[in-house]
Order: sequence, then C-alpha cells, then structure tokens
Amino acid sequence: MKGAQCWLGPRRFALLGILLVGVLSAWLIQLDPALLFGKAQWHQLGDFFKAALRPAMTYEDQNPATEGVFLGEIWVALYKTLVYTAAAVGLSLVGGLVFGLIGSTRAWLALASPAKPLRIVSLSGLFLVRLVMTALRSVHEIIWAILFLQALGNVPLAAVIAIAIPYSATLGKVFSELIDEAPRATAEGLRANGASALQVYVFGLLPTVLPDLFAYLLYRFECGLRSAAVLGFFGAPTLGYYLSLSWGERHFHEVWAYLYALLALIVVFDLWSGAVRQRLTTRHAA
Amino acid sequence: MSTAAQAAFRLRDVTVRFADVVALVSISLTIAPGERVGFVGPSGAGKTTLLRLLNANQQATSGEVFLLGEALEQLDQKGLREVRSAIGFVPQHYHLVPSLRVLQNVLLGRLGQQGFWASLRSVFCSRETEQVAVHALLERVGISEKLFAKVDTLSGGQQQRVAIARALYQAPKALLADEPVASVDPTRAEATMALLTTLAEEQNLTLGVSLHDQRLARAFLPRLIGVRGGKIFKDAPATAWTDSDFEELYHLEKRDLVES
Amino acid sequence: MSKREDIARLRAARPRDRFVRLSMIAFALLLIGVWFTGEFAMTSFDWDRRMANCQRFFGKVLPFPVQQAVDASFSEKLSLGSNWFSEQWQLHGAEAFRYTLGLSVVAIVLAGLASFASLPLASRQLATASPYLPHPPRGSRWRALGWSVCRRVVRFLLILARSIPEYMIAFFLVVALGFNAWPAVLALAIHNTGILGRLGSELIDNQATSGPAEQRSLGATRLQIYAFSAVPNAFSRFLLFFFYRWETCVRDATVLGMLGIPTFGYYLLEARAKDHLDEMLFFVLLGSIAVLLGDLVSIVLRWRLRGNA
Repeated sequence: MKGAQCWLGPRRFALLGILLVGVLSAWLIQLDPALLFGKAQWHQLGDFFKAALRPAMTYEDQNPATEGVFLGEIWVALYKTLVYTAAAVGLSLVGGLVFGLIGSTRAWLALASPAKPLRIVSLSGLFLVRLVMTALRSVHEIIWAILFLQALGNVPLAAVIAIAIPYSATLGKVFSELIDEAPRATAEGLRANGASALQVYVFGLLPTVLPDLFAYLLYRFECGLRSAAVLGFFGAPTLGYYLSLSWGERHFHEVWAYLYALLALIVVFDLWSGAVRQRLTTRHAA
Repeated sequence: MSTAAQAAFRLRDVTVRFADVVALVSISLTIAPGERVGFVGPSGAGKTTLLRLLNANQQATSGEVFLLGEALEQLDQKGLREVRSAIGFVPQHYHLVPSLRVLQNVLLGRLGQQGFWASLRSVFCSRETEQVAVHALLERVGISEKLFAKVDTLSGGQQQRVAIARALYQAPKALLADEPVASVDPTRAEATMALLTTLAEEQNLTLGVSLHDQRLARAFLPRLIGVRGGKIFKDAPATAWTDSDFEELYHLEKRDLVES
Repeated sequence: MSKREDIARLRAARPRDRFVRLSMIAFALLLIGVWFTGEFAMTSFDWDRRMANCQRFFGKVLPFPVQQAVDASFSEKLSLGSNWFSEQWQLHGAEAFRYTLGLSVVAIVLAGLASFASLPLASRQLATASPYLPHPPRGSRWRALGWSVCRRVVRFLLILARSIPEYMIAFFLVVALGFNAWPAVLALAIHNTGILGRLGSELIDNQATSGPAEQRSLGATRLQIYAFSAVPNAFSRFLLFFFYRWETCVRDATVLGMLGIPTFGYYLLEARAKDHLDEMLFFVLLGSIAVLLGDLVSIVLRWRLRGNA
C-alpha cells in the first residue's frame, strides 16, 4: 500500500480513476469513434459551415416585398428572448429569495432554539423544503415547458414559468448557502440592540450577502438567455423559434445571422456582468 | 420600591452553564444607576458571559437577573426587545454591517424601538433630523467627517467609534463595552476609555466595561469587580485594589491552569 | 445652519461606484419593466378550455392499468402500478438511464481534458512570452505579441464555446453524426470546455506567483511549471468545479434526447406523440431520479474532496 502511494498519489489516482470511468462509460453507451470520421456525414454539414462566412442580411428567398425586413426580424427575436429571460429571472428572484430564507438552516434554527421537540420538527421542515427545491431543480426547464404545454395548451407565460421553476430552486439553494455562511457576529450585534428576527434578516444578513447575490443573479440571467432562446424550439416566440424555421427551409445564411445575433447578445452581457462582478467583489475585499 | 427596582443591574445567585462548562457560579452583585464599573480578570474568566447576561443576551441557568428594574425571566419577547434597546452594547469586534455606510450603521441602533417598516424607511431613506442627530453623535466621538463613508473602508479605531455612536443612538440608560481596549494601541486605549467615561458622565449612564489593563481600569473606573473562574474574586472601589490583588487575580489563574 | 451644509457637503462627497449603481438600477428596471411590455397579456384566455385540458391531462397521468381498473381496491391498484413500473423500466427505462448517465460522464471527461489543454494558452500568467519572469528577454517583441494574440484568441473561443446553448450545438451536429450519442457528447463537451476553461484559468491566475517564479529562475520550462506546479496546486479546486459541472451535464443530457438521441428526452417525446401521458410522466420522474443520483454522487465526491483539500 505504501509502495503504491509512491507513484500513485491522490491526484494521479483521481485522474486515472476519472479517465477509467470515462472509458467505461464510453463502452457502456457503445460510443463508436469511427462514426466521427465518416466523411459522408460531415459533408452534409458542409453547406451549413460554408454559410458561416456570409450571414444573411435579407431573406434568402429574394422576395422584393420582404426586402430589409429580415434585420428587423432579428431584432424582434433578440427582443423577445431578452423579455422572456427578464420575466423568468424576475420571477425566479422572488421565488429564490423566499426559498433562500425558508431553505436556510439558520432561519429554521432561529425558529426553534429554546425547545428541543420543536427542533426535530424544524429540522424535518428544513429537510422537506430542501427536498422540494432539489426536486424542482432536477427537472429541466424544457421538460417543464412540455408539461405546461400538455396541461394548459399554449399560454404566453408557460415558457416563463417553465424557466422560473428550476431557476427559483437553484437561486434558492445558492441564496440559502450564502445566508448560512454569512458572518454570525453582525446578526448577533443587531440582536443585542433589540432587533426583531425580520429586522436581523433585512439589515444584518441581506446587505452582507447582497453583492454575492447580485453577482450570482447576473450569472443566472446569462444562463436564462440561453434557456429562453432554446425554448423557441418548443413554441416560445424567442430566437430558437426563428432559427428553427430558417433551418427547416435550409436557409443556412439566415441561421448564421440568428446565431451571431444570439452570441453577440450573450457575449455583450457576459462582458458587462463580468465588469460588474469584478467591481462588486474587489470593493468588498478591501 | 425594592432595591431590585432601584438598581440598574442586580444579579442574585446567578449560575450560567453551557453544555459542558460552567461559565458563572452563583454570582451576586448590584450596580446602582450612574455607577461606572470595570470587570477585570484573565481571559476565559467569565467576563464576556457576564456582560452578555447584563445585556439580556444570555439566559441564566439558575438565579435571578434584574435589568433596569425588570426581572429577566418574566419578560416576553416585546419586553426583552425593550430592555435590550435600553442598554447600549459595544461588542469587542464592533459587529457593524460592512456593506452599509456609517450613517446607516448608527441608525441601526434604534431597531429595537421601531417597527419593521419604520426601520426600513429610517435606514434606507433617512430624514434630515435623523442625519443631524447622527452627525452630532459622530462629532461627539470625533469622526463626523465619516458620516457617509462605507464602514469597510474605516480603520479599526474608527469602526470602534461607529459602534459607540450606534450604542449611544439607542438613547440608552446603560452602556456596556466588551474589551474596548483589547485590540488598540496604548495611546488609543487611553482615549477610548476617556471617551467612554466622559460620555457616561455627561449623559448620566450606568457604565460597565470589561478589560485586562489594570492601570487603565484603576485610572478611569471608580469600582472594579474581579472575576476569576466564573466567581467574583473581589468587588471593591478601585482605590481599595492593591497591586498584590491584581497579581493574585492573574497569578492564581496560572496555577489553576498548571493543575488542570 | 452650517451643520446642514456640512451634512450636504459630506453627502455630495460620499464615495460611490456609479457604474455598479447604474448597472443595478438598469437591471432592476429591466426585470420589472418587461411586465409592462404587454408580452404576457392573456386577453384571449379561455378558462373553460384550459381547465378541460388540465383535467384531461391529470386524468391520463396515472399508469394505464390503474386508469382502467376503476373499481379495484387500493392495494390492487398499487400492485398493478408497480407491475407497470417494472415493465416500463425493463422496456426502455433502464436503457435510457444507462445512456443518459454514460453520455454525461464521457462528455464531462472530454471537457475536462480539453480545458486542461487550453489552460496554458488561456491563462494570463502562463500564456505570455516569459511566464513568471520579471523582465522579458531581449528581442522578444514579436513573441510577446504572438502570445498575447494567442491568449486573446483562445479566451475568446472559450467565451464562444460557453455562449452557444448546448442544445443548439447538438441540433446542428445531429445532421452530421446521426442519432447516436456523439452529437450530445460533443455538444456538452464543447459548452463545458468553455466553462471549465474559464474557471481553470481563473484558478491559475489567482495562484501566488512566487513559487513558479523561483522554479522558472532555476530553468524550469513553461510546460514543466504548468504540469508540476500550476496544475497540482489547482487540482482539488478544479475537481470541485468538474463535479459541479457534471451534475448539470446529467440534467442537460436528459433533454438532448429530444433531438433523437436515446436518452430520457427521446422516450418522453415518443410517449407524448402516442398520447401516453403516463409513460411521459414516467420518463420525467426517471430523469429527475437520474439527476438526483448525479447530485448525490457529486455531493459525496465534493465533500470528500473538501476534507482532503
């Protein structure tokens, strides 16, 4: 055992283990590398990739009636994606704040500190809330969207709620961790002034976690842009909808135009939120 | 009126026990309104627990605690908040909210006297009268220029002053300070003690300070209570404390440590 | 009233970060403003039809044999239901389970390897003409320029890789690679290479530079420093990110099946097309269990890592 550790340290062990599990999984799903190099198939995408250099500026069917309308269509697609994302993230923020509070160990322990039997009740309450959060998170937003479509028919809000459900749970999880890890001392100091539990939460805890909370919210928004765009494939009027229509007609130049627009939106948002995040964290490191 | 009602703080036979340690053993003491008292003794002697007890932040395992004339045991949630907010407390590590400004941190002193919405309005949208009041307090502790500074940009000494101003903004009847000179340099320590005692004198506050430094304790506080191993070692006017008393207070502890 | 003036003066001079403040306000306005755009107005909302639809949905989500056995007792229904579950599991469930988990593991391992390879080219510390040395060697202006261009290009490629939704990548790749695991594996691998590459290069850039500088002055090469100093130091933190991304990979793998790759999503859509809502719900639940299982494994592994780190 000791001899083995000389050449197989914990890091190499982990690395080898991961590679081994990777190869095993590839075998398990019969992943055939030969499929990657069949020339015929890649050829099918050739036209598509050739179009990458010349994204469409107008509709590809050359209809004089629709001259110049295409660029406007891209703006509409981007606008709808943004609006759907913002609505979904706004809802998730509300849900996430509630989940964050009722999913934090601290809140439940504060409820039950003096009496023992209450402690057991409150711990099982906490467990239940966490279980619900995990369950909501484990179903992908696309699946939520399909379930909503099936149960309610096409409602404008279906896509928004479909994104908001798992995102609320994810935000709630992160928020509750932030609340549990925030320094206890500040909250205790306010307690000593005679503050109520709600005042301690709002004045003692929220301001200390707010920068991290906002930074994470921005990251979620970026993920939301991707999710909203993809839900267009499933009937939401977002970018994916327009993209799939053009794809269906094999108008690859149009597809690339939509793709570049989406990338631009996400990259711009990424750069902006990165700058905000950096300022938020450096200010508080000082 | 009973003596309990007249005293600012009164403990009768109070014991505080945590899971496996006894922090305080049958302590009895009375502090009159306006008195200025120092709690001296080695670390871990129970000074902090005693201060937490006096600030209604710690339940006694047994015995009676009277704070500002109220029996601690009989207080409901609301009464507890009232007593806490009538006693200003300056924690050793200040416990300010780092991402808020000095003004807001001082305004937090009044949380115990406000409802939730009133406190929200006050902290995030302060009135001019409130700003003037806080400014006056900051002037009193010597950092009025920092009214709108973020707390996390201040030095340790400045943060301590904010904590004192926050305690004063409570308009308290008593002021408690936990080790206010433990982590500041000697000249600053003297200034801090001078500030606390003059403030107490001016506003006729009962003052309770825990500290190690026997020279400062004797110089600024008329009455000293020595605490050791959870018991009261000596409770007497500062003039009655001799050098050998102090030596014994700290020395005995050393012997105990070796024995245990 | 000099006091008021004094306060006003202090207030005007208060330190504040305009950029962050404006960003927060703009973001808040965006989140609230969208509700007033009229996008979500439900003018033609036919409640009766919706309710009927909803009723139909919930009437059909119970296992089919249970729906049929109206008069059966509860225990009979229970045994009918469990029989149905084991049938479904043997028919496609186990297959989808194996495929989803296996696919996500292959994808994250590929992403991990690719991001490892990208780090020496993307890190601000390593991807320079003379990493960790105080003075660049003489006559190295073109090399310095080359490295800076290389670093920027690789970093931009990483941004692109994580910006494209993995569903869209898979959507395109299915055409070339067919309805097997490859499109999903590659899509997940590309997206996660972008994310792990960013997180990994942040880890390396935040490391203390004194150690590598010492080794460098002793003559260690760029790759030696990368392999024997930077990577070992960042390894356990990197593994934390790795397992966290694997969790999300499992979650995303469930829906990539909707493109025709046999994970849960495929069978889910198939069940919907047949209007077998009970089967559809079965695959939703099974997918959720697979994700929970991935969560659990990842939590245990990350917890062990934290203990060792």
